Amino acid sequence: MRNISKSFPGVKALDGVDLRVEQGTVHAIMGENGAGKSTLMKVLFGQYTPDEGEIFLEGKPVQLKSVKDAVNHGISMIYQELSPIKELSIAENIFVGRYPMTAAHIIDWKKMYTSCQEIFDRWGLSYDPQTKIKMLKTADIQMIEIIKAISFNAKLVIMDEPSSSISQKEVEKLFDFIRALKKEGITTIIITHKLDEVFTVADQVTVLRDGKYIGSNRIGELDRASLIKMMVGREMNNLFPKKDAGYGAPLLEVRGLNNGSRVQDVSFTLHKGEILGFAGIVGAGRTETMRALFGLDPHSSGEVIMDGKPIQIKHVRDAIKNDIVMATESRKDDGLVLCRSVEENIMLPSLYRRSKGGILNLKENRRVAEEASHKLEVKTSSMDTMANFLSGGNQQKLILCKWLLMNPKVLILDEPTRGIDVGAKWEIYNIITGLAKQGVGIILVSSEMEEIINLSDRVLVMCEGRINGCLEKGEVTQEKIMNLASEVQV
Amino acid sequence: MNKKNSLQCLSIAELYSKFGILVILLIALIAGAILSPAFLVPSNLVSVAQNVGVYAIIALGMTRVLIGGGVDLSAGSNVAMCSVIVAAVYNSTGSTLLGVLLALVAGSCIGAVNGFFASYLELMPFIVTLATQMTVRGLAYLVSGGAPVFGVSDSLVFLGQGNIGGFPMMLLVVILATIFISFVMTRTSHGRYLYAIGGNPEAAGASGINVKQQRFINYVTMGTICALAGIIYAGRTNSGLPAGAVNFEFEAIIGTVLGGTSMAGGIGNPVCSIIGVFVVGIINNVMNLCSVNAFWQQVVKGIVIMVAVVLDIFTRNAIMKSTKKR
Repeated sequence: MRNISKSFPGVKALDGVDLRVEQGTVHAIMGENGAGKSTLMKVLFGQYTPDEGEIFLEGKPVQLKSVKDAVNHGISMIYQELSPIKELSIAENIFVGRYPMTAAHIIDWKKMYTSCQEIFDRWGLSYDPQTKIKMLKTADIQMIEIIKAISFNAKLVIMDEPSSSISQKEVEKLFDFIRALKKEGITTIIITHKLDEVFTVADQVTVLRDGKYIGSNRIGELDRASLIKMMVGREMNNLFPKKDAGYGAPLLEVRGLNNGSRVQDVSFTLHKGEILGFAGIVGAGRTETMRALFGLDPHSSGEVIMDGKPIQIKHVRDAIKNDIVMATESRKDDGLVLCRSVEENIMLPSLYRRSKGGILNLKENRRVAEEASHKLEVKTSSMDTMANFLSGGNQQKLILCKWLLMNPKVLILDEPTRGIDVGAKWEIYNIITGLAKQGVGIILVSSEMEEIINLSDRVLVMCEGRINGCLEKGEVTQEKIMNLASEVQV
Repeated sequence: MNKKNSLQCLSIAELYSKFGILVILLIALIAGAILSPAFLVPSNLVSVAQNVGVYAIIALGMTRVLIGGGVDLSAGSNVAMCSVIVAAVYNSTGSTLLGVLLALVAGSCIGAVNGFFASYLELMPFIVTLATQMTVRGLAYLVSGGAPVFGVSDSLVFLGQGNIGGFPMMLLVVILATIFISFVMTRTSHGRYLYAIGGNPEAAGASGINVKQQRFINYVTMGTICALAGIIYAGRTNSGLPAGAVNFEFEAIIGTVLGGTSMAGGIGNPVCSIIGVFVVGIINNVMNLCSVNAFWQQVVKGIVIMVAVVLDIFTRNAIMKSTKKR
């Protein structure tokens, strides 16, 4: 792939990226969240058409306009989120859409099962073609997906973070299989966050950062430190408002919070006026921790202490009652009611405080909503505009508006600047630091390193559901965060 | 370009969900006047109002249920059961008030059952209310002993059939109920919550709203409204009909959706629903006046339903599309 560029509205996801993968090797693609790894692979798999650039396959230029094109050229992709048809058998899932037919145009079940069995025998796998997919574990389904990919005569298999949802043992099994593929001359591209995996299985690694090509090296020529450096070594620009270091008395204390495997024994203290950063790779359990704290998800155990008093949070309204509020990760999913007006969205959480016996004072509501949206400079044609019509940055401000009306003591922000432009980011950073100056305790969950490093008073790094380390303001570096985020410290 | 298109599409959809039904009402009135000289006559219009009164009351509750992201198929059965209760209590005790109170309690209880299963147990409202539709129909037969119960008090007959200086009582009840429900939907936190819950239950929950409780209240209120409709129905028919009010829920849904309420929740307006119900009533009336064959009437009604559904999809899709763009 040469000079690939791809833009989405407001973001340049890929900027002149080159990728050279040698036949019959295992090639790892690394980079931080949002570096453009998945986008690049989707271009290669024909899901996105690049704005610029060419793709060469075995020396010949190819046009990949659709997934079908890609499959015809021997490219297959295994997604991070698997989507098998759970009620059907293994064989059906492998042959779906191209069932072997008898002369009478009826599905030839016998042939399907035998050819499926043949494939399993060839690769030394012990699955029964007639087992239903829903009986299998994630790791097995992944294996089936790979088999399916190969059965399309794939020469190049792309795997998007295959190890993210399976156990260590299963990862080893998967890697053995990747090595077996390699012996057969099948090339594998593997997207991963985990350094160890790269050194175990890959022959070569390409690093992307902010949609740009950083470098490509043979594994033998690299060590951990130099790889981390490639991933994070970016220039810091000074796009961050200054905040006086330091914070007040302890405000919120969380002790031993647990929820399944995603949140394990999480403990931390948030102080008045502090911005506490939570760093980690996607899926490290940061969002889950916050959801459990806010009462959106249940937690199996753990204590929450607010202003020195233990509190119980079972529902969101318990958290709100205790002046803890959370701006959730996705504006669309659980942030806003997009089909309702700006005013309704702003007022939603605080209606119960502002109504008398359930009856609203419409004029007063309008005034309060207008005031709040002016304060944060939400750009909207009127208070009656549907939230849907606002830009991403303004929608994000809307969410902040609705929570700031509650006068929170603790404000949890989950990816507050995802997918919004630089100007809006700057405004939101100003709002955040302004609140901290007023003494609000702020928890900032973000996958953007710059944000975390420049705004936070302290940074907690999570990895696999646990807090892996705490970095004070002076000592935070991208390298340290990356190190803590990619490996569980014993 | 694309974005602009979808925005335009959306504003049309928005306009439709706000004013479209008025235009349709106007067209229906004009068409009716052209097709039949007997249409635009006060006595005929009064009879239209009396014919759709019960549907209109149900539609008010249905609008709330649909806005909250649910549906209630048990409404017709509930109306029938409540009419039977009113008539049966009157016949055995001579008391209207007792019958009315019992009907309101019974109707609300049916709503509570729907709400319990659909909201607290999170079962699909379609299936839950389909089940109660049958159960309640059975209860209506049981209460009445299988046969219609004839005779209700004069005051109820006045409510269902009478008029004050030519103005039908039924229409008065519909207008008062519409004002009340409109007030609830726009000026109370409960109303705002229902819109938010129907529009995006996750966001509503994440804003601290007790989603299950609000939905439950919504179904209970729907039950109460059906009881009110049942009481009026008893007055209108001068009896309690266990086999009556069949498919009334669909009449209400057609009018409501025609009035711009989305089956997917979050969007709708009680006033528009009432106008929608009247439009359907006018179509029926005009077809009767023109003595259209009863079978053709059914065909036309089916087409009206289809138009209503297409309009619903059109409105919803326009909104969803511009959502995805972001």
